[in-house]
Order: sequence, then structure tokens, then C-alpha cells
Amino acid sequence: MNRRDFLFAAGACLALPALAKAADKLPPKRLVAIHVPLGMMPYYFFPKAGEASSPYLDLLAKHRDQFTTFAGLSHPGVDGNHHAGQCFLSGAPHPGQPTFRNSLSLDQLIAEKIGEDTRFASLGVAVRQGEHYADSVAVSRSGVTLPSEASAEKLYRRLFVAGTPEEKAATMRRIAAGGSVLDLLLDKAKRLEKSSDPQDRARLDQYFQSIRELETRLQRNLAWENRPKPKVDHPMPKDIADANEVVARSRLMFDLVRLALQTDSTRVVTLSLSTFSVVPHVPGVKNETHGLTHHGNEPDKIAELRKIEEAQLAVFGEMLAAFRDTRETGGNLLDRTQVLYGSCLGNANSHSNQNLPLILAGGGFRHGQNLSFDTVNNTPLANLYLSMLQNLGVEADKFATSTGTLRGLRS
Amino acid sequence: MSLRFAILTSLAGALASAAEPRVFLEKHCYECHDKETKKGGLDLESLGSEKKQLDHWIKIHDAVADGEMPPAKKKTQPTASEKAAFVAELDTRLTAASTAAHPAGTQLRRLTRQEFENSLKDLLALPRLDITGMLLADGRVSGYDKIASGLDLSPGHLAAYQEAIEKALDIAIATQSTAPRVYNKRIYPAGLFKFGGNLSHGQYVLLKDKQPDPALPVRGGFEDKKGHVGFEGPDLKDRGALVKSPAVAKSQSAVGLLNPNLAGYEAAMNVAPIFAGNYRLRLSVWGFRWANGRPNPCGAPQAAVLRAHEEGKQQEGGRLLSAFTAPSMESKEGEIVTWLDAHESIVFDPVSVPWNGLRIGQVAGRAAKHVGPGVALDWFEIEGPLNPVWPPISHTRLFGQLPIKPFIAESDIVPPRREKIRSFGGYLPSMYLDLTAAERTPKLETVSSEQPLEDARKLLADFLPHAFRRDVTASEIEPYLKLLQTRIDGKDCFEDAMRRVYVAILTSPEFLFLPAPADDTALATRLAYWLWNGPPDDALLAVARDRSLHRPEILRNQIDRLLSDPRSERFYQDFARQWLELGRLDETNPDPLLYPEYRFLLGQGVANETPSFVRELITKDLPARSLVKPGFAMLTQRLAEHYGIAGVTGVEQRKVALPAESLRGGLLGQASIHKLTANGTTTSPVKRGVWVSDRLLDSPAPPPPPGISAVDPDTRGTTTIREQLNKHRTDPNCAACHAKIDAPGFALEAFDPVGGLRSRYRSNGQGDLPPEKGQTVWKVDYKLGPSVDASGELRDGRAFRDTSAFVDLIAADDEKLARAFVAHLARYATGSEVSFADRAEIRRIVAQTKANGYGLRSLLHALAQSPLFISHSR
Repeated sequence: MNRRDFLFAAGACLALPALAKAADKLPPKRLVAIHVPLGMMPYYFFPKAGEASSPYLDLLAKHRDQFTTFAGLSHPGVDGNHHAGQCFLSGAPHPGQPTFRNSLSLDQLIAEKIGEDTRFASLGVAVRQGEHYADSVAVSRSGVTLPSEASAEKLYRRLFVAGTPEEKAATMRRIAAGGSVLDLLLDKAKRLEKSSDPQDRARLDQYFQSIRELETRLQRNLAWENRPKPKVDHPMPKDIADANEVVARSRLMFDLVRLALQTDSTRVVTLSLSTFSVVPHVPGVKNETHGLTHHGNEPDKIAELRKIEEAQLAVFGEMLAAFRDTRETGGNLLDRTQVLYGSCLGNANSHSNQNLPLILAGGGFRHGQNLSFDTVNNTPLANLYLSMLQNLGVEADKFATSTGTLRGLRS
Repeated sequence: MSLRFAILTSLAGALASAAEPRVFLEKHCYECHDKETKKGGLDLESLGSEKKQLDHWIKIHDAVADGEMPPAKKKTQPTASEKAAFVAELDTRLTAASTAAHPAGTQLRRLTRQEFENSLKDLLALPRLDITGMLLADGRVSGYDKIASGLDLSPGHLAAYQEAIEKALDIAIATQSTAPRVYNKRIYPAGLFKFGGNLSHGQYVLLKDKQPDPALPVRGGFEDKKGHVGFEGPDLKDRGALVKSPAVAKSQSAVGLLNPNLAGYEAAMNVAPIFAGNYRLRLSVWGFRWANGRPNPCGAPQAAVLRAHEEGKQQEGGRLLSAFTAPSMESKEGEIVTWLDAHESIVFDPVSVPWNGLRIGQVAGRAAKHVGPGVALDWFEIEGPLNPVWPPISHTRLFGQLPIKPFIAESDIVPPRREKIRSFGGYLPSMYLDLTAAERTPKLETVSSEQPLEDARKLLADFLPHAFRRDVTASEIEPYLKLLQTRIDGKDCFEDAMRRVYVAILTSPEFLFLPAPADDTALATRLAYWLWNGPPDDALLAVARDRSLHRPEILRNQIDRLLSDPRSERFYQDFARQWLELGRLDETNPDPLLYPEYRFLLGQGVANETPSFVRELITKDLPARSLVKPGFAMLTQRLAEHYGIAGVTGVEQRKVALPAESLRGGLLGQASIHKLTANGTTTSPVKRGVWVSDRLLDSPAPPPPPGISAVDPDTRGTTTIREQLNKHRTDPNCAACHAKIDAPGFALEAFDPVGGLRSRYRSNGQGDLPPEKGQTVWKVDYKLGPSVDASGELRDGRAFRDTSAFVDLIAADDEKLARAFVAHLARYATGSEVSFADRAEIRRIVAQTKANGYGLRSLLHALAQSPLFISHSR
């Protein structure tokens, strides 16, 4: 029996965490980060001085005690208008510049720390039409943007659908065959790694690291393949073909994300809700969203854009409600889940990346306030991220450009 | 004093003494750029010498060398010799520092996703492969995705490669011993389901001998008591029955289309191949102007396209197969041979017909009263799949001449996976109905091998050198044979076991990485990925095997051969996309109210103008000044109309001579550039200025400092971007950089966001009615706001009164244009950044071509012969 066949046979025995059965144990802590690449119009989002709410926040009024809003936060050096979106969770500076390199995102750091015990260390999900900026905000340690799943059907299959015995056998064969290929490539590693040039060696190293990582994933997949997928009381969704149905598409994805968390299939989720290249089916909207964000201060366009942004916030409110209505040990799903909603665009019309619109809900923070910082010299958004990390139990005293935890935010 | 001295001496790291730069800086620069004043944020006194500061020092060098600093208004100016000495000394030091910062390395680099696709396509001889969308986007350095440092590799990349390779293998491998039968049919549009509804409602008309066919009268007006018009009407039921009757449904009459497609699928031909392959598509079309209830001559031709829509994506844009010219009142046949995937449906679209917000059937008077352009389709033909040889070459590249035989099910070998042959769509004609029962459920066949290891050894001895682009030793084949054996032991059939081998080869580092040209073979690879954006062919590798490729005459001949091959089109497209940022062209959609003229047909002409222009410049070895003043333009009929140039008819992009004073033709007059530097609604002199200095002059503008307030664009017709920017520029922190950036942008203000020439800004708010209102085939709802001012002053003090004068200033410095072109071409060709130390070599390359005004093909040849390209030691 060769190594591969041995591993294949032993796959079922590979150590996996015990299934959570202890009903008395508190459910795990989690993160959901939602990025809206085109942002929100600041004059409707931020409460005016001395006021507690704003037209947009009014839409979320019934959850007011469950979230905090922030004014005067941004990522230092993260500019380049739309290019900034990819740095929403990483804070890597100057994304528009030629020499830019992205860096590890908040969600991926958390996935490294708490993702081990779930079928998916993290999930990247998107609602989008075509390829645009920031279709995913999850960034690996080597600075690579990770792909996001835009099909609800495929996501549901990955999460909850066990194959037929034939499909399962085919999957197992595919894993075994994939393993044989990796074996060959790993053997090559030993011979080629002696390459003399240090720069070349660094590049080849990245290659072989990737092969090894795939091998590890394969082992995990093999082990998880032998464990039944969770059963959920939710029918197989049908993808909504019409890209203009952004609200319905978002609702569908929010539902699946809730199920993924509830079944502990993952604890870390990023969502990118792009309205580029679509004319959302929202009453009164006739124009493409990105074009509307360049409204040139024309009242008609602002009114249309407002309808789109309100529709997006309303469906986000639905999601918060659904999280709150999902009971689990010691409270509800929202209590144990940090939900971040925001953008790297502070004002799409002027393409500004300052004064970002941000909401943080759930996760056991003391909410219900609006935390304001200097709108000229912004406080690093990474300070908020550091607070979130610590709240999740990740030991860290710095993240990206943070200068400390965020003043005024309490667990 | 000693501090300043220390800073300057450590500046270049290499040299220690020579006090000239310090003296010069003290005398001419510290007045503004010392610790106290630090104008523009620049404090020369405290500027360090780290690698990071090298970039600062290069900017200082360039500012003095280009005459931007000290500013002209300063009273005491350095003498010419003082300046020359300073620049020369700094040049020496910076070259040394730059060489130290960019040590020689062999710079292995990963294939870009486009190179990966092209490599698979060429290696497997696939007519079409579309997998870049499955692969992760490549990192960009200086706007290029070919630079080694931006090309990372992650597990995600590898997983995506494997998936994409599987897709390519699916297309390449023959699953039957005989070719699918050829389907051949002429289709008349009147009987097609999607045409029927439109014929009933009246946005399409039935035409015989270029006149309305009495078999289906043109639909007339109807309004209900309240004056409403809709598709409904007392005549609709009768028309519906008539359209379904044999008199219309079986008619061979033409159908005239008075509306373009709204949803992608509208004028569908209702044919979708059951088998992927090459198909011959033919059609006959003509154009007309609809008025008085009948077709009339329309002067210049109309245009139509065929698109293919992926299964399940009929509502989306689809991919363009080809455009066709539809001459006035005269049927014209068009023919293409094109690859179609299984279940891609074919759609016709009369793209020259404007869309003004309502279907003809919904408008008062309907077709009988409608006036406007139309396109008629006489018939459409489809023939294929065309397989001149079977199995196809793609299959024999993988499996040679091994027989394809029925799979024997008695063993415990796992059979290969096969897609079921299935119908597509519910409407006639269906290509599925044409198949016999045996063709619908073919028996399972697969490549068969009596002696798998021996056969595989032969197959790989041929395949591996192509995949690795070099000779391969027998021992290099062994691991792959071992893999084959493992899979055969694991009960894979031969086809599947070999598939694993091919996946392993195509994810091996030898395939995924390109070496630097340490020898002639590697040079061949570098050359091919430059000029074909894909792998070398056998002929090029043969020259490399002789070790003669590096010899100047031979290298030159090979470059000429590569550039005359159709594969060079991939270079022109890809280089133009990266150099000129054409990838951003469709990032924004023009505001349909402000720019109603910008629709699909114009967009096509705009997108193709720039790559075909670059090809023309290089092919004809035109001088560098042609980049901005060529005296010709690459135009389609629609693009020529947009530019106000008469006498160009038809959909082909062709060379049109222009008068010397024309603003069009050159890069600064191309709508693609105007569009990609605008946001669909407004233009920004800043963005355009950055584009000109970065892409055209290779003198990148510095990034904006943090914490600045951006301009809030306004299209209400009350203010101009220039007025808004002027406010911004009163801030001394902004003024210095913007003086450099904005000037080219101001010159280009004469062009709107879709490249139209303008003297006044269009507005959705206040303004005057435009004179073109009612004169165009599209609806004009915008107004004319404030006037455009395209004058300005370059940083070195030279003023220009309008766009034309600005272009003349740029064209005059053709040596600079040539240097910038070579620097950009070098990044693309070598996958390396261009450092300060490379500037001397670029000057040398450019100097060689002075005699013919820096011909662009001469520059390309000179670059190829230079150590910059040919040597591995950079």
C-alpha cells in the first residue's frame, strides 16, 4: 500500500473536533463582515451634530440597542477611491499605487485562530454582477484576494447537501486522484528547491507552500467528507438570474449565512454586496447604481440613489432581526456574532476614502451609541478591528495600522 | 552643515565626496525646501538616503532636469552649466544607488492568467478557450500584470488552475470514434418564436422585395378613450393568429427590425449547438429608413451583430461573434466561421437602430407612423460542427493516434465521466430533433491502450517539451509515468489516468513559471510571451536549439516572423490594454441622459480603435510623434460619425487619412482614452493629467497626500470642474503638484466623457437647449451648461491656448515620447520594473532610431537587441 492509498483509507480517522453536543456550553463567537463597495451617502447616514439618529439609522430603529455607529474612522493611507475596497478588512495603504501589496485581512486572521474546528475555516460570499473592485474583501497572508461565492445554489450545496453514494464515491476518488498529483509535485519540490538563485527560490517556495497547503486541505476535506453535513429546514435555493434583483439576492445570501453560523459550518463570513452594473429592482429606480453615485449633486439622482441604499439597509435590518430571533444557548445568534457593515468609500460622488460609514452590531458589545471621532484627522479603523479581535478572544495588541483599541467601545 | 553633508554623501551609498549637489541645493533649493519652509511638503535638509528616499531623489533629479525646478518665477536661476553639472552628478549617484537596490537576479515569473489561457489554448490546439474568469486576478505593478513581483501564487491559484485545466481537457478530448454529423440549415426569420411576438406587436415588419409584405399588414395606430397606447388593441388577436398561420410562419420573406434588442435574448435565432465545435454562420441583411409605413433608402449603411449567449444567461449581454454591414436597400451576405460551445444560443441584434425608451408597438401611430432607421434580416444559415479531421488535433496532441473504442464494462475499471447529450430550449428549430436515437444516446467510448506505460512514454516524449517549452530528458518523464501507474492501480481508465498526468504537467513549476533568458531556449520563451502573449512554436524553439537566436540578424528575422503571425494580435490587444489602461474602459457606463449617443455600436468602435492604432504604428514603423499626431485614424462608420468625419461606411475598423489640423487619430484624440479617464458623468482634469504623465510620458504623478478634501463633482450646470479645481489649487499644499498634473487634463477638457468634442458642458439641470435636439436618431434630453476652457500652462512655463496647441507641444518632444514608449514596452516584454539605472540604456535604444524619427517598430527591435531584454542579468 503506498502512502496515498494509506492516507485515503485512513482519511475517516483523521482527527476532527468532536461534534458540539454539549447543550450547556456557550456557542462559539463569530464574525460576519459586510462590505458595500459603493458606500452610503454621508448626509443620510451620519447623525447630525446633537442628534441621535439619521434618516438611514431610522430604518434600523428597532435594533438601535443592538448596534453602534462610528463617525470619523478610516484607514490611514488607504486611498485610490474604488481601489480602497480591497483593503476594507486589511487596512493596507495606497491600494491604487503601482507598488501596492495587500496584507492579511481581519477575517482571515480570525479564521486562522478560530477556524480550525469548522468545515469551512471562513466563507466568502458575494452578491455581484461581473467582476468589479472588491468582489471579495478576504485577503490571505501573502496578500492574495480570496475568491467569493456568488451562487446561492453552490453555497447551499457546499454547506448542506450530501452527495448520493455514487457522488460521494466520485468525490473520494477525485480527492485521491488529486492527492496523487500533489504527491508528484511535492517530489519535485525536493529536487527543485536546491535552485541557486535566492529570488527564484522565494518564488518556488511560494509554489511549494501552496502545494503543501492544498495537501492539508485535501486531508481535511477527506475527513469532513466522511462526516455527515448538517441538516437544515431550508429548501435548496434557486439562484436569482436577474442581477437587478439585488435585494432578493442579498436576502437569500443572508439566510444562508445565518444557517451556516447556526450549524457551526463556519464562524467567519465576509460578504460583498456590490451594486456595480445593476439597475436595482427598487420602486422609483431607473438608472445604474454606480452611475447614480456620481450624482453630481443632482437632486433626482440623489433621490434615486437614496432609494437603493435604503433598500439595502432595510434588508440588512431584516438580517439583524433574523439573527436576533435565532435562539441558542444563553441568548440569541446576534449576541455571539459580531456583524460589521460598512464601506471603504466615505463619499462616492467625491471618491473620498475618509469618514467611512460603519455599523457594528451584536457580538456582546454594549451598543446603542454613536461614537464620533475627529472628522478631519480620522482615527484608524484598525483600532475598531483590534477591539473586535480582543472581543473574539484573539490575543493581539496591534492589527494593521491600529494605534490601540477603540476608545468608547465596551464589551 | 555637517548633517546636510552626511545626508548627501550617503545619498547614493556608493560615492562619498563631490560636493556639487550640496552646493547647488543650498544655493537654489533650500530657500523653499529647508526644514522650516518645506514647501510642498519637501524638506531637502532632512531627506534621508534609504531605498525609499531613492524615489524622492529621482523626482528631484527629474524636476531639475526637465526645467520644472527651480520655478521660472524665481529671480536667481542656475546657469546652464551649473544645472548640467548638478544633473550629471546626481545621475551618476542615482544610477549606482538604483543598481544596488535592484540586484541582478534570474527573476523566475509565474504566467499571468491570460498567458495561462493562451498557453493551454496553443498547447492543446483549441480554437477557443475561455478560462481567465475561473482564475484569480493577477497583481498589478505600474499598471502591468506581467511584473514578477506582482505575480503571487497561493493554494487558491493552484486549485483554480486545476479546475481550468479540467475544463480545457473536456473540450480537447474526443469522446466518440466518429465525428458528430454536420447540421446544415437555412432559417427564415418570420417563423421564429422570438420574431413572432414582435411581428404581432409591430416593432418588426414583414418585408417582401424590399416592401411591406401584404401577408402581414404594417400595424397601425390605436389609442383607447383615454388616449393610452399599449401593445393591446382590437387588431392584436387577429395579428397573432396571422403570424402563426403558414402564410407568415412559413414565409421566406425578410423581417425588418425597428427596435434593437432590449433584453439580450430578443431577436434570438433559436438555434443552439448540441455539440461544441466550429460552425459556419451566414446571413443576409440590409438597412433602410422606415417612413410612411415602408422602407426607404437610408444613405449610409446600418449595422447588425450576432452574439452567442451561454446557457442560462440569455438575459445577459452575451459574447460578440461578429458585426455585419447592412447597406441601404441592398441585401448583403456575411459569413463567419466561429467556435460555439454546446448550448450557446445565437442572437441577432440590429445595433445601429436607436432605443428611445419605448417599443414601436407601444407608441401612438405604431409602425405605420414610425420614422427611424431599421435593419432587415433575409435569412440565417448555420452549418457545423465542422471537423475537417477526426479526432480533432486537440485530441491527438494528448492521445496521438491511439484508437477510440467502446468502453468494456465487465472489469472493475471506473468508466470516464460523460456529459449526457441533451436538448436545449423548447422552440423550433431544435438541433436536437435532428439527431437520431443512436446519436442522442451514443455508446460509451474512450481512448484505449494495450500497453499504457509504453504508450504514455511516447505521448509524453512529444507533449512534455511543448508544455515545458524546452527539451526534456527521459528521466524527467519518469515521475509522470509513476503517477500514471498509481492511477491505473487505483482503477482509473486510461483516459482518466492520463488526465491526472496532464493536470500534473500543467500545474508543474516548469509549465507555470517563465525563466529569465539565461540561454537561447529561455530567450525564445521570453520573446514569444512578449509578441504572442503565449508560448513559442516549434520553429522558434528550433532556432533556439541551434543556439543562434541571440544573433542579431536571426533575432530580428524571428521578431518579424512573430509579428506577422495572427497570434501577434494577442500582443497588440494585451499591450494596449496594459500600457494605456484600456482594461478600465468599461468600468463605468455613461449617463444615458447626458450621453444618449453612447450605445453598443459606438462602444465597439471605441474599444477597437486603440489596439488597432497601436498595431498600425508598430507594423508600419511610424515615428514616435504619430502617437499623438498620426495624420490618420482607425475608424468604423459609427466612430467616424461620432468624430464628425464624413465618408466612412461599414462596420470594419480601417485606416482613414485625416487633415493635418484634425484633433483625432492620436492617443490624445481617441474616445477610449477620454472615456476611461472619466466616470461616465463628468470628466476630471486630474485623472486625465495623471494618465498623460503616467502612460504617455512615463513620468508618474505623485499620489495625493493624506487627508485632502476631494472635489465634489457637480452636473447641475452651475459650476465647472475647472472652477472647482482652481479653488482646490489655491491651497499651497496642492498647488505644486497640480501645476504639473492638471495642465494636460485641462487641454483634454475639450472632450466629454465619451470622447465627443465639446465647447460647452452638458447638464441635467440648468442650461440652454442644444441645437442638435431633434436632429439626431437618439433622444436629446440634456441641456448645454457653462463653456469649456481648454487652455493651460505646462509646468515648465510653456502655455497653450487650446487642445490642438497642447498636442503640438507634446508632439514636439518626440524623443521623450519615444523614451516613454520604450520604458512601457520594456516592462511588458521583460516582466521587470524599469529602474533609474535602466534609463541610460533606454536613451541608447532611442538614440539608435533617431534617423527615422524614432520609428516604433525600430524601437521594438532595438529593445529586443538590448541587454535590457536579452540579458538575464537584470
